Amino acid sequence: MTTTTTPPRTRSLRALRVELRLHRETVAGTVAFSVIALLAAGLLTDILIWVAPLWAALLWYRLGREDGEQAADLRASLGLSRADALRGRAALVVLLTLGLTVVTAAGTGIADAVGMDGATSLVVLGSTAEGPVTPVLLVLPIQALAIGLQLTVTGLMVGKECTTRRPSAWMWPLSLISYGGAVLLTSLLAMAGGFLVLQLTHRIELPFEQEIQLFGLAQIVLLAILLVLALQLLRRRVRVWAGALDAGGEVSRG
Amino acid sequence: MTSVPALAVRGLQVRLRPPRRSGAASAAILHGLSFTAPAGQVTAIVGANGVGKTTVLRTIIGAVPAAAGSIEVMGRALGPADVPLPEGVAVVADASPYPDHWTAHDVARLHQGCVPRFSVRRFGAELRAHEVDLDARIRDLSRGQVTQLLVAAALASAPHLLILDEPLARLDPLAREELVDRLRTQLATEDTTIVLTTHDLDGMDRFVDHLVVIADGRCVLEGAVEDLRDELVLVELPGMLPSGLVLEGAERIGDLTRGLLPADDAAGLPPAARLLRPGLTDLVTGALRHARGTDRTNR
Repeated sequence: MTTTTTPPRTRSLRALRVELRLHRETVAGTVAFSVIALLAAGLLTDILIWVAPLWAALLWYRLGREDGEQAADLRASLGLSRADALRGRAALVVLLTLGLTVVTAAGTGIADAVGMDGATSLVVLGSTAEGPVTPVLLVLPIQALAIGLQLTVTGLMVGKECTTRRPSAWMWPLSLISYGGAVLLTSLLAMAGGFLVLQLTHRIELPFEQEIQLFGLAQIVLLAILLVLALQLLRRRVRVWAGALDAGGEVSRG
Repeated sequence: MTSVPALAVRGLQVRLRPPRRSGAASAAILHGLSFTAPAGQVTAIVGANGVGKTTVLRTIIGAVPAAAGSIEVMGRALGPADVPLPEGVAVVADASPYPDHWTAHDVARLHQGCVPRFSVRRFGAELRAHEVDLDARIRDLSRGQVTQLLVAAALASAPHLLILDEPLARLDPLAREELVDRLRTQLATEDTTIVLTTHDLDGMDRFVDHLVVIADGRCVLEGAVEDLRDELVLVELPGMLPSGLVLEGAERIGDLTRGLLPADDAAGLPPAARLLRPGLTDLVTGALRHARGTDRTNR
């Protein structure tokens, strides 16, 4: 009797495909929500744009709760190991999170372009009596990077509990609290980074608008570095979580 | 000639936590279970309800991690979280693992994308042959039709090893007979190894080749059915057992005492004893009764 081995990379792609199929309602709901949020940002209000990161923060919990005992049997019978299934789930969350992050940034851009009242993020980076001084081209990447980082940190906090077993109900408030904490931390770090650069360059006389732009650029660089590090860390954590599936050999029946 | 068994389980231990209580203490479900399933044969894993038959299968396919022990499926050592089932293994779960709003078309698409040997044509033909509506949502199918759907998906994968969890439990008598016939055909035409769990052996006498009886998380009887039927005799004795005679899994039926005895020991039986060739059910009930310590007449 001979057995065939499927390469790990093929299995990872297969696991993602299986997750997309098994959670297609959540995926479709996310896409529909994104379209509605973008349309609303152009026509009515940008408030839905700010719901998108919360939606993304809850993805680990939602996808975990949607799974029953039989889903694990199904994945196994399709030739996916427990680790493949976990990696597939994490990949799906990252994919949807990326989409929602882009939607948030694009929605903000749309709201700003059509002059929507309450294009909130532009206020954050500084404004004068004449209006915001930071170009949208700087604001949008800052926003996208910050939200990406916040959601990655949220994943680091709640991912294990939501992927190695069926998450309990208290994981949804915990996901939101983790996201809130990540927002606070990220904002503090980004501001601190921006002010540090301004401090280091205080000998150079710059007009106020250029100072603001320098402040923004410093934030982009810092947030990009932090996001890359956080994603690397998430990748490593996913490996550790997959390893934890072996430890102890104890699983919940539910 | 000895061939590699399709399935070899050694010293398997599994612990499970109760649902929705992540802090609750886990309970041992399997305590060092060992058995093999010979290639090209039908192996039945039999035991009382709740004894852990489903856990055995879920552990074998890798859905549940083992606390200790080893599992080899078609020569591949499983167990670690990163090792998947080898290709060519199909599983029929005891309940639908698919979202209940799915139709057979969704099931086909899922398997087509993951199982290289999956044949949509065969899947459709199997379902049509058993009058299962391909457009119906799974929640609208009867439990028997759901079983037919799961079996069709498994057979459409042309498996080398087919694992079924209580496949007959939800079928009416006619459908049971048809399913056993389908599996027999599969066995004969495609050289498939079949491993199934059941607690109901009605009509399985001429189907099962290898028997594994589980009680209290351990294997209490294992062997080729024909060998076991040759090695053991079913003894029926009127009245009480003579002192010194021990019948395995003995029970009283009216004035009759019935139980199993090694064939080699039958020479010393009283002349009134009636010796019969045990059926599959006799072997299983005798082993289970013996394991439970409820053989009332020989203690």
